[in-house]
Amino acid sequence: MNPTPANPTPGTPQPMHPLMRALSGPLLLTTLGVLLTVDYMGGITFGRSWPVLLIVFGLCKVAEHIGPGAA
Amino acid sequence: MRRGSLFAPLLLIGLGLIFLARNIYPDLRLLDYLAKFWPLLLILWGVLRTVEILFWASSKQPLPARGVSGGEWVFVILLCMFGATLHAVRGFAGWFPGTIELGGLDVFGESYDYAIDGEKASAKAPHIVIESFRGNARITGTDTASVKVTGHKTVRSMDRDGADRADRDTPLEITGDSGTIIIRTNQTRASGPRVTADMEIAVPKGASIEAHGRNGDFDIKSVDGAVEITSQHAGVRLADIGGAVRLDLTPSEMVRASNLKGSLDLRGGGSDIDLDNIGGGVTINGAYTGNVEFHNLGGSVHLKGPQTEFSAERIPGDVRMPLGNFNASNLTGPVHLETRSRDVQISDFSNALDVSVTNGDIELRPALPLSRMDVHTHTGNITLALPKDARFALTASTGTGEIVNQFGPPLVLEEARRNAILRGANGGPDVMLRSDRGEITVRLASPNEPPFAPRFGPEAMPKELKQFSKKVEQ
Repeated sequence: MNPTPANPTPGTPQPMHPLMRALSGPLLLTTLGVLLTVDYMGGITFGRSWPVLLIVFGLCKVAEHIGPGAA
Repeated sequence: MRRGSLFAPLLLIGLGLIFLARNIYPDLRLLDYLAKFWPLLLILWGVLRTVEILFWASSKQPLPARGVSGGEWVFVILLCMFGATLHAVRGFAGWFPGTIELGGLDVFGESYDYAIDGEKASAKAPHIVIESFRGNARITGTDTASVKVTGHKTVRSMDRDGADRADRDTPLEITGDSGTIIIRTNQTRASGPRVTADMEIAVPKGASIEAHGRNGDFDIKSVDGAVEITSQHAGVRLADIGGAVRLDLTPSEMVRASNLKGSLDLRGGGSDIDLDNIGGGVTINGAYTGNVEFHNLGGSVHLKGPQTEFSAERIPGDVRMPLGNFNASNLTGPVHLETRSRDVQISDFSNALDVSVTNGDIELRPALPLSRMDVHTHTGNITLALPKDARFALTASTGTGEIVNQFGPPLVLEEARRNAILRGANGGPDVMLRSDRGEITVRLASPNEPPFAPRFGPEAMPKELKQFSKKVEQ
């Protein structure tokens, strides 16, 4: 895990929102766990609910761009 | 300097707790719990990491470029493969990820219910075969000469059309001749949607039942013939059954049987067993980790699990076996009990008694006349309460530990430095007590001592786990 510079050098391209970028992995992991648990509880099977992972991933990417502190 | 993640140390603590629990309760089905609940590890990991990152962000510490590193994702994939394999191997479901649906946005399904209904005339004592299905069946013996199925089927689908199609693909069929009736739900014909059935089946009273199922409960009552159930993940309730009963359940959350005239053969493993008023012999094979109870069993009883073996000629009274305990009163021997880790309490037993415990206390209160006893614990105390007029030829010995003689003569204590022997005879059967590491107490039983009460009822700790797992299964 390489730390991201908190204050990027002026003139370089603005990084995406570092907090949201760091949070996207854990959020995906949590979502994966929830989907599998729902499957095991007899709810929607993971085979059908897996697109939620794509949605969460996409939302995380969007949040990286428009989140507070982002460029 | 930011510190490392908390997940690894917490995982170590969790592993330690799990192995400790396993050592204290060898009967605990850890693999089953792991097979059911491993996705919670992912949730825990994700939530913990989220909290960590938010904490680092709020305390102005440098944030990692990625919340979950590449190596950790590899570990996640391995964990998923291991968990899904375990889940399948323990018989809970097929292998992950099942049938992936790429075609549409079938993400949030709904339940659609359809009535099922069918009837077929039969002989007075037909053999009824229920082919493998997912769901519940309530089977009741009636005075009619037909087999009648009512109830509903539930289809979980994204839209009404898909559910209707699945309903059409899975018609209820009642076939066969009047002597053998076959009930078929055709659930495997549905491609995609999960179909379950809740059936109320009225059968002639003289019928015999053969049922195969999964993920559901069987409730059978007032049937005079034999009952045979093969199921994965089922609960079974039986009442007023005339014939022999054979259950093969892997695993069963609960088996409850009352008023059985014939024998009961139960195998597989699972959680709770509650048997009451069984006329024939009872044979149980498998690991049952919940609350096992027997009341008024008229035939011989044989229980064989990985940690505990128990047999008795009859049980006019009660046997309760919550986790870590064996509590019995009013048994007809010969009684044989061999267990690894249980505290044993037996009162009011006749004929021979053999008890062998690796790790646990033993408390005995025999009825008069005394019978032959051979009692051994590797680590634990033994307490024997003898009635005033008891006749016996007693030898009690310890490897390390003292012996307390509260009975008095004719017992005589011989003490060495670390061990002790208590001997005495007044013309009765042999009573041998041996504790390798522990104390032995022989005392006078006071009249009208109440039977032993279970130290841990079904309300003890594992029950919470059980209730949780029940909810998950539902």
